Amino acid sequence: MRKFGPPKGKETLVQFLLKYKFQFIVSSVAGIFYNTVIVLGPIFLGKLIDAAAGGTTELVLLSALYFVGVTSFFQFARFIKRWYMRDQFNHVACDLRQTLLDRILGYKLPELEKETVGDLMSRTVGDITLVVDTVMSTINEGWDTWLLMLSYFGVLLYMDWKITLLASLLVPGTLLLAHMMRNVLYRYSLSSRQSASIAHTGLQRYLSAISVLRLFGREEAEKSTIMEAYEQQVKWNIKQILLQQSLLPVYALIAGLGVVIVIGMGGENVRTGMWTVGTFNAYMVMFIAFSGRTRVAAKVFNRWHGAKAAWQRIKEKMILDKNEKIADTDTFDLRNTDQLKVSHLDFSYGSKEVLRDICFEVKAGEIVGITGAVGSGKSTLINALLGLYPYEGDILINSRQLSDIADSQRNNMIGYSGHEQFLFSMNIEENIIFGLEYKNPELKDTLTTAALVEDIERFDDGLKTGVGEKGLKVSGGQRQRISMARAIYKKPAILLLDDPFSALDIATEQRVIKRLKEDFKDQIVILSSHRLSAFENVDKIIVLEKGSILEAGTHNQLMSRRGLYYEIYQAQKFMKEGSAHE
Amino acid sequence: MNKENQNHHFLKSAMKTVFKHRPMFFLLLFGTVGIGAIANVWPSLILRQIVDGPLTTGEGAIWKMAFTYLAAVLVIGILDFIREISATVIGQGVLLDIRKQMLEHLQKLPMKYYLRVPVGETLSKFTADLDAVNTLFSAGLVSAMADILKILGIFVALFALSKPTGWIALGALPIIFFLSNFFRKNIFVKQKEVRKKVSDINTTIQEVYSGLKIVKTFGKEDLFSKRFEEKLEAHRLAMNGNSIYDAWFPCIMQIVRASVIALALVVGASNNGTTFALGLSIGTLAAIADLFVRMFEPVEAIASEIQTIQQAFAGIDRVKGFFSEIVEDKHSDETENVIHMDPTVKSDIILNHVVFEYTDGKKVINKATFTIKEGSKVAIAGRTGSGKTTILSLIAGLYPATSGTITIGGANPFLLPASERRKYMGIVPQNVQLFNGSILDNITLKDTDITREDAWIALETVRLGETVRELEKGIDTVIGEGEVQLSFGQMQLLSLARAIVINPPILLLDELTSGLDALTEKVLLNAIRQVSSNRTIITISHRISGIIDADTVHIMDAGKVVESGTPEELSKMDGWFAIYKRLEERGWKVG
Repeated sequence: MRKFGPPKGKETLVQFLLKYKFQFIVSSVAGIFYNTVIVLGPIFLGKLIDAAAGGTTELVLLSALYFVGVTSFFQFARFIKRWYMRDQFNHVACDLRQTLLDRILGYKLPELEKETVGDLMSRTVGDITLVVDTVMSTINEGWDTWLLMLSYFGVLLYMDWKITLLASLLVPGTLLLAHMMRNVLYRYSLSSRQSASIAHTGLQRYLSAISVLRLFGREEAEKSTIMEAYEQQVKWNIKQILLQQSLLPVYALIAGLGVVIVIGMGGENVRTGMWTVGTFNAYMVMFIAFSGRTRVAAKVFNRWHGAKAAWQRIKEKMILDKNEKIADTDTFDLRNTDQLKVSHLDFSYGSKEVLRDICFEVKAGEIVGITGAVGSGKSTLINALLGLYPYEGDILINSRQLSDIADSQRNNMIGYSGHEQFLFSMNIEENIIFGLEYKNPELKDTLTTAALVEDIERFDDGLKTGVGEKGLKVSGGQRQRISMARAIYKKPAILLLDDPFSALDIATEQRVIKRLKEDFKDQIVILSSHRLSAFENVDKIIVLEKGSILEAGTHNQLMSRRGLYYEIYQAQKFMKEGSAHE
Repeated sequence: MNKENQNHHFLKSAMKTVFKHRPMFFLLLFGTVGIGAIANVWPSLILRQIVDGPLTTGEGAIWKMAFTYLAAVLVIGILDFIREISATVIGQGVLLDIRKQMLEHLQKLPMKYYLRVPVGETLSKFTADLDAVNTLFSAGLVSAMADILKILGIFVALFALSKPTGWIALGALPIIFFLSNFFRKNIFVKQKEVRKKVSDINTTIQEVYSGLKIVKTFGKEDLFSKRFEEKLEAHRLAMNGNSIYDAWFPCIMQIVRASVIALALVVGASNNGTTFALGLSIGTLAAIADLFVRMFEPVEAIASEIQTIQQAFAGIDRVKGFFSEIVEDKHSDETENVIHMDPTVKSDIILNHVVFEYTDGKKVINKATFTIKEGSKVAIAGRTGSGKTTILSLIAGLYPATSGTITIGGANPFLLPASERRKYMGIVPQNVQLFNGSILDNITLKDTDITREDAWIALETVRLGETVRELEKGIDTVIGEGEVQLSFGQMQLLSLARAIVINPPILLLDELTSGLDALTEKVLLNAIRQVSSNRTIITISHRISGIIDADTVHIMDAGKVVESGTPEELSKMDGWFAIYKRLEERGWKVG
């Protein structure tokens, strides 16, 4: 049973909330209790004042006890409300995040590549936070502002409807004023943020273009541009706070005028004996609390607009139709692959055709090298062989079409290391084993093959060394080899390595190829590189040009052909020797 | 800059500056804080008068007193208003002054600082860290001061009304303070934990989304889904840890408040039969209850203000760290080292055993030696990382050489004063940098010595004259605004115009033609030809095919020159030049 996930049935926001009915009911009941019983606070305080002024000791003590007791009671209800509400929305946020992440993990690769990491991040993090916070604060305000005001107003009316109606005449004015000022305040704060962003961009450009600025002696001028923006920001900040704060005396006036009526007319009530001083006090406390709350009341609905859009963005990515999977009923054993046959393979990204009429065959135990100029289709061919993208023509594994093989089987069969090597922030061992069973001899062999043994020895924590976020704590070359080791450890039937040697020296490169040959006797290895020294000992080399096969054969065959391969090989040899001599 | 100057405190000097310009606001601030503390107790005292007067004895004009109450509330509101405004004006002024100081400091930092410190880190000094400093004024010190005085005012009022209740307040004070401090502290600690877990979650999400291809090719969706679940659960538990304090905090404080008020009222009770009774009037009792309510708010606030102040000081420390960055003492003996070179006389550029290391000690340039004769056209080529761009920066005087010498007409280009550099050499960097402003501004770079005519001549020379004339506002058109968008090629031409506007004898070009269509490339090459007569031209070429019109080509590899000669000589030589050319024609990576 998973901890977090979607609700059963329809995946609406309400259903996500109702998954935690218990918390919802408890917090609601407590919320109702708190916001109604709260009126007893001022009432019992009034009674205590009355008692203290003229009652017996017993009455004073009893009143004090009641006052503290009733306050404790409704404050406890408030705690229950606050706690269960937080608990519920904590869970909801977890459910939403888990669901969204799982759905995105289920996308097919071509769908995924249409997304940007930043966009998906902002939906999973920012949008969910916004939705959850908004719903929670709305419900909370519903209790603590609207119900509270209603309770107070009810009691005030009950105590004296004439004073209440007269004194609250101006209260909606607060609401109105807060509402009216909202737009102006928003504009000011927007202007302030705009100036801040101009200054920020200016500063960012200043820092990244510092060499140009220095060469042209332009630093001073750019500095004054940034300062100008900062000055603007300060101006708007001060304006905003000036307006915000100038409202305070106005609010005070509005509330104060109500209080004048309360004192004047309430005083009359005391004089005529209708009210005690305590009642008068209770009424005043409640009235001040009531009119103070109105200012908050205006804020509640401000955030809904943004939250709705955020929920839309979350839902968009949660839909299931990007997640079809091939049913896992296939029992075909693909671990004993002895032949890979590619014939008339065409492959395109979107509408752009990148591979055309590719044909070749590999038998178990062979290593195939793919090379070509920049943009000739080396990586694309490897990508096509992953089976995660649609293709035309045939990719046959033991005469079985790759696209018909179930996901889980295909994943077991193919091992891959891309040319942008990606490590996860786990330790080296976890990155290599990557969720498979831990087998000591296999791991040791893998480290040897990937030429990692010496590197691991040099780390204080050996295999348990953390690689840091995105693997940034290890060097680029180490990253490349750990990523390769991850693919090797799996011992897949088909090992695909996209440009695995770019950060390796040539001697290590040769060693790795030799080991791969020994370790993958019954499997197929396909690797791409633009450095031809890697291919002296492989079984077959494919030279691509503009998405098609230009030349193919062994190293010796291609060298004696004196074609492109030969030419490039000679050029690279010159540069290698040249660099070494200088 | 000497040592004492370096240690001067930026905050102190900012405060001084603001005080000099706005002394009135300091006066207002201290005035309102003081008066505010007294005014704060006024409503309670009027309440007492009302209750003891008109309400119980029927004496006194109740409406008049009601309006006095209103006046008191208003006065408090206005004082709060003035205090906040003064604090804001001072705080924002200080902030602005610190920013100015920081920008000035940036100007003095050496290029190596910019290479070493990521842009984001410097930016955060200007934003997050300074914001922390700002809270010192907006929420920290001033409010704390005001709150302490408010508490004092309430004590004085309570002691005046009845000593025993005063003592109760005094006794309650540490309880309230420590209790709210306890909650604040724990919430602070728990929130830090929550923030850590949030960043864990963000990292995990970022990682999973960035590594999706690997996750999917290995079929490890479930593994990462479960890993994410663990992080979510850890975050949820951390949130719970915070929620428990957060949920209790206001509730407990309210219960304590009720208890303290009850205690004060019981003690102050005026009944007849008890020994502890004080016999206070009912108005006094109501006023005491009111004052106690008023006391809680500032005490609770102080606990959070202490935290704000602590954070602000952490921010101050980080900003201080920025100010302690060592500045370049380039112009220490300016008068002696300024190049005495006549910009109209062309001079040879001589590099002699030049070594250059960036911060990590790796030799990017390793004993490079060559001479560029005045008036010659030189191309420098080589693969990525060969050091060709660094050579250009060294000739331009952006960095000092680690060892060896670079001289232009016998003088060290690094010692050229910033404002003079343009007169000796024009530089066209690979990435065109346009600045906010008009076309004219972008050519003159706000140098008032350059006339409009000069700018027009430069525009004509690079063949932009017609394009600019066709614009509605001509040379005063603001770039990037409204309809006017320059093409990439036009921007490069503009960048070239900027470099030649003062007619410098040396022109440094970092390959202009990359990423241009054939037609624009032709226009640009013509423009360069137009400006190259009588000048020394040094071009960095990233492609051999980009080398045009060069008298001499220097090929660099691993920080030194490995091959030199005319293009014709070199292409016959079957050396680096020929190899590069061959690989390039085949579209092969040179690296």
